[in-house]
Amino acid sequence: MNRLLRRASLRFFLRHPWQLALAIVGVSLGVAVYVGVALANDSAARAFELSSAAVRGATTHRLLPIGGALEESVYVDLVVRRGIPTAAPVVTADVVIAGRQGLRYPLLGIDPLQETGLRGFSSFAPGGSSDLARLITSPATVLLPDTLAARLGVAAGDTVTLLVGGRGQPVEVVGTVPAIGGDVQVEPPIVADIATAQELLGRPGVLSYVDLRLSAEQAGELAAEPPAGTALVALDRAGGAFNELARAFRTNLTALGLLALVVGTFLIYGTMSFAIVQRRATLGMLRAVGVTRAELLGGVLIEALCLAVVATSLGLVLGHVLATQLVELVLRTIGDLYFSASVRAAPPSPSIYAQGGALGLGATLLAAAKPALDAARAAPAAVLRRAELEHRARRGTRIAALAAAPLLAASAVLLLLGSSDLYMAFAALFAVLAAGALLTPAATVLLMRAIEITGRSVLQLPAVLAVRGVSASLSRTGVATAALAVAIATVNGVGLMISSFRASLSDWLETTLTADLYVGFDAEGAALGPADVAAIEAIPGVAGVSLTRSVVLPTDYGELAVRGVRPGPRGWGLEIVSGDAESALAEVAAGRGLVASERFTFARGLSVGDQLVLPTPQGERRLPIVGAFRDFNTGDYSVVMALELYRQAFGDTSLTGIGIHLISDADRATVERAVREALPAPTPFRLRSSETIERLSLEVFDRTFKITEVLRVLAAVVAFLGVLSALLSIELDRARELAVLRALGFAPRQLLATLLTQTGLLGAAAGLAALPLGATLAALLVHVINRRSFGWSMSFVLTPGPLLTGLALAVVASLLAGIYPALRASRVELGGALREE
Amino acid sequence: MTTRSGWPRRLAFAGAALLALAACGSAGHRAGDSPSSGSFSGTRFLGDPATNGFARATGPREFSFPADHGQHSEYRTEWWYFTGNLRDADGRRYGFELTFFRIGLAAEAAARQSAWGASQMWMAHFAVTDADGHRFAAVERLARDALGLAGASSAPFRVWVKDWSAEGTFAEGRTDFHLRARDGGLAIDLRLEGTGAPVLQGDGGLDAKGPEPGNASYYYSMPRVAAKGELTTNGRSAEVSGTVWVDREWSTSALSEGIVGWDWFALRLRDGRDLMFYRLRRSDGSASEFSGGSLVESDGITRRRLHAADVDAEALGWWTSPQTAVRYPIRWRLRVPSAGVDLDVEPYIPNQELVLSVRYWEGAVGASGAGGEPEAEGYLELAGY
Repeated sequence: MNRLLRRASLRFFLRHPWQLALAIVGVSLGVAVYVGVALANDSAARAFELSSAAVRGATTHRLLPIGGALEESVYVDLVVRRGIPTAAPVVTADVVIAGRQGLRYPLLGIDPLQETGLRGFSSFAPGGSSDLARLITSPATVLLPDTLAARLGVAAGDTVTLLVGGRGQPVEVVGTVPAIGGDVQVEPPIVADIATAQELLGRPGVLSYVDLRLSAEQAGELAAEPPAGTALVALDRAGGAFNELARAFRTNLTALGLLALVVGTFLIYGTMSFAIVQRRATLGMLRAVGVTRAELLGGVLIEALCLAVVATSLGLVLGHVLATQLVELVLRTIGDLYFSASVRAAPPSPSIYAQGGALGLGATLLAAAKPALDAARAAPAAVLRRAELEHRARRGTRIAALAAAPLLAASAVLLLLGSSDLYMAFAALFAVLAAGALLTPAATVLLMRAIEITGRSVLQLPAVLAVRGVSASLSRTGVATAALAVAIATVNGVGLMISSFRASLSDWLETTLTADLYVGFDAEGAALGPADVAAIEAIPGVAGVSLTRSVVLPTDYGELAVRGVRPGPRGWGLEIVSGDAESALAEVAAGRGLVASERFTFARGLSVGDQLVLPTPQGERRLPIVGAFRDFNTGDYSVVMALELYRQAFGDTSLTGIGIHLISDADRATVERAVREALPAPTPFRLRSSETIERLSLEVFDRTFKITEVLRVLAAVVAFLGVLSALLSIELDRARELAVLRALGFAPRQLLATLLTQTGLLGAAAGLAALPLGATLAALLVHVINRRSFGWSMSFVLTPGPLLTGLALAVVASLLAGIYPALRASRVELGGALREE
Repeated sequence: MTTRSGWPRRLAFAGAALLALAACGSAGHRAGDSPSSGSFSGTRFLGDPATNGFARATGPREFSFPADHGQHSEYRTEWWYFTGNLRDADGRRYGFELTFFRIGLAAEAAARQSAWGASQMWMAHFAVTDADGHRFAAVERLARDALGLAGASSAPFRVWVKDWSAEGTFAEGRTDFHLRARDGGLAIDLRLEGTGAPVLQGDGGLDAKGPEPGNASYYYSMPRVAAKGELTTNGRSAEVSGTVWVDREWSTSALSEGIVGWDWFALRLRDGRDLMFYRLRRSDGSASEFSGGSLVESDGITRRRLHAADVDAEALGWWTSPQTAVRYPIRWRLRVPSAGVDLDVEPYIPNQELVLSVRYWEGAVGASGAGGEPEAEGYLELAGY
């Protein structure tokens, strides 16, 4: 770089440390948010991958029951008659630690002798903490996860009580199990011998599944001729509802992280172009003394690069720190939604730092390119003239506004072209945001003109000055306003999406939870006869019951939850979203078809009228899909058929759920007690009210969106810094102008009022521009992004709350950012400022 | 040193089985494990020599067959050991080991609701040596004594672990066995033509190991059983015939302090004599004075008990396992001067190491006399290395 140029550049930034700091902070934050989110995502993804691999161990296949229960004789057949060497029986269900409300753990019943070559419970180490022989031979003995043992303060020899179906079962702790799987440290389940597990869970004679390690040849033989009523599933196959959802969730987060970088880029652009604007005199002089355009261009770009290197490095460090916080949120969210095991973060791939670095440098250079070109292109004299600059800025505003139109068109095309593609949807969303950003300066000018015209008679001089000042200083504030508008629109849009979602979920829960009390049994189902059901129906206060048998089947469409339902007095509790509701439910009731969850039909491209192929113990069965119902569940995809049809197809009469409908004046507590007594003793069950289920669902929902909230706040912080940077620039640049005002008789208080009004107006303009932009964004998120990501359809509820919050945020952020510059400006020392030029 | 008791061979297997099973947890065995891992350092699992309610071999026993072919679950450990040297029609030499171990986990079975409730476990090992193909393979089955997954009965005789089994028909004091095991491309289906009455080891079948009462096992052998059937290695089947050594032993004991393992020889001499000798090894490598064995004359009846002083065993060659880095003495000079026995014992192939829940070396061996001519064949077991 030209030495003169280098010195000029250095001195400029040394004399304006605030500007330097803000530029650096802007880039850093943008990079940090992007890198933070990317790292957290990657870490979470790897954690889930590694942990499911750790839990799975060397298991290649799982033998699952098709409806009903897996008889333990199937296992004997597998290993004794068929001679399959590595086969491990499993009985599992969740249990609750007594006295620790909500401390729910999976209980894994295994035959420790069959774990060799499959899962690794390293606790079975000698000298270690478990007494294997006692675990096998003594009833009611368990191994606790070591973390749980520490939390409960128990050691080997102590007794803890497990609640199974509300009944307390004291068990002796004979040892502890450390976390599974090296890096990821998956918390293990509570481990019991398989006999103990069958006894504790009241499930003698049946298994949950059999885990196998099979060669391709063995797998082929077994799949060709599986034991009756079972299906063989390969565990290493990718896909399934969980993976699809988790991937979509991560894509969403990445998009939000990218948004932060975009806002950060705006900030860089603003800072750099302002740094050029401010130095127009210097640059003009440099051109005048013979510095070439190329040198000027190079000089500015190198300046930007230096800034970018410092800021990006800082951003990477910040991003790293941020990631450690975010990853917990990501893990918890994915865990809450789709995974029961608790998972610890895995080290993310180091390439993300390189990616973030490249993005930071690239974005900074890109943002600096236009200001640099401007500086190089201008004639020496023109660079010197301020008026020319503002004139060009206004022309730029018009051009930008015109450029928005093709962007919007592109967005529409993208949405129409990729009807189910998530990336296309995000591209469209970014195009809309960009268009919004381009339109914001023009909208600001229009808004100011409108205020000026309508308020001509009312506005006093300081206010008029403020209003005109906003439009007059677009070269400096235009980009900041646009960045603020985009950030606020993001805040608005995401807020609206969340409130729409929450409202839809709440409605859906109302529709779905038709009964007042719910009795839930474990996945194997409870063997309840008509007499048991009749006993519950006969309880005084009970108006009727609904019965459900839900079973997860390995199908050609992946794992599918099949629900056989006998509706209660208040109907099916299904909201049919495609197909005619009345006739669809009539068909289902008649056993002539089934309804599928909307998520499932969306994910598998199925529609009403299609035939669904289900495996049954008697072979494949084809059933028509007569409708799709709304489903906000995050677990397996599901279909619903009449209970009678299910029983006939699967030969399984057990139940997994009973909904109890009460008459209006029934005494809940009495009914609950009677229900508990009416259920046969060894059956583990959960009894919950519809209110509890609704509350728990909404709690999970709120926890799920916590990370989205965090990202909203981060976007707002970046925007705030953008405004602060812009306003500081204005103050620095206008010192002389403001001094003139003072000299003309403006009191410092009046000056302060003028400046704060101006910043408030700027914020309001951005906030107002963000209203339609935010609403559009929300609509896209609700109708396109969420649908394509998760298959959820929800109603778009335009509540004023989030929008007003956004507007207030914009104004308050601007005012806060304006206070310091305004104070400085109002206290300016007259002589010095006037003398300066 | 002077009053420590000796122990029957393989006795520590019981404890070691669970111990090593535990050590391996899941993932099988990693090469480069320290030599001590999985070794039977003695009493770790079985803990103190307390018998925890199990019966002990305290006095002479009236053996009765076929009843005694079945299990004696009042004792903690028991095994059915079949090792044999076979040849196919082309004269290719093979060795095989098929062993069933019963391990009592608790003397008293708790009353259980679940059919999986068990108070003993079973372990079976199956290994095949293909001498000319220089191949060795060993596999394992583990099961609890429940749901018919594993067990033993005496009439008719059957011991099985999952799909592997040894069945027997007893007639006129003679037991014919039928051995079956398969794992992938490795399989055996062998019919054993029983000989007469078994050889009762030790003192009439009570193999006392030390001065304390109960520190003993019940032990009988059938050293020379003619066998015929099919052997599959590497997916290739061959008709084979040869001779099998059957060992039966049960007790409630553990390795004593200072004993780290044993070297066991079971050899059928060409002159018709059968030699069994176990060399109990101290940590410094020397033989305990409670080592012992027997020499059965060619009539199959006359038996001479051997004591430590009667036998001179000297390791001549060693082999280091590439898989576990453990060093085993696989070549020996075995002498019984008083009986005119002087043998150079050499394995069919060096690598006959079983890396299973329990790690040990057990392999088919041949033996030559002083002049180098073949004199004997049989099996060698090296444990505790």
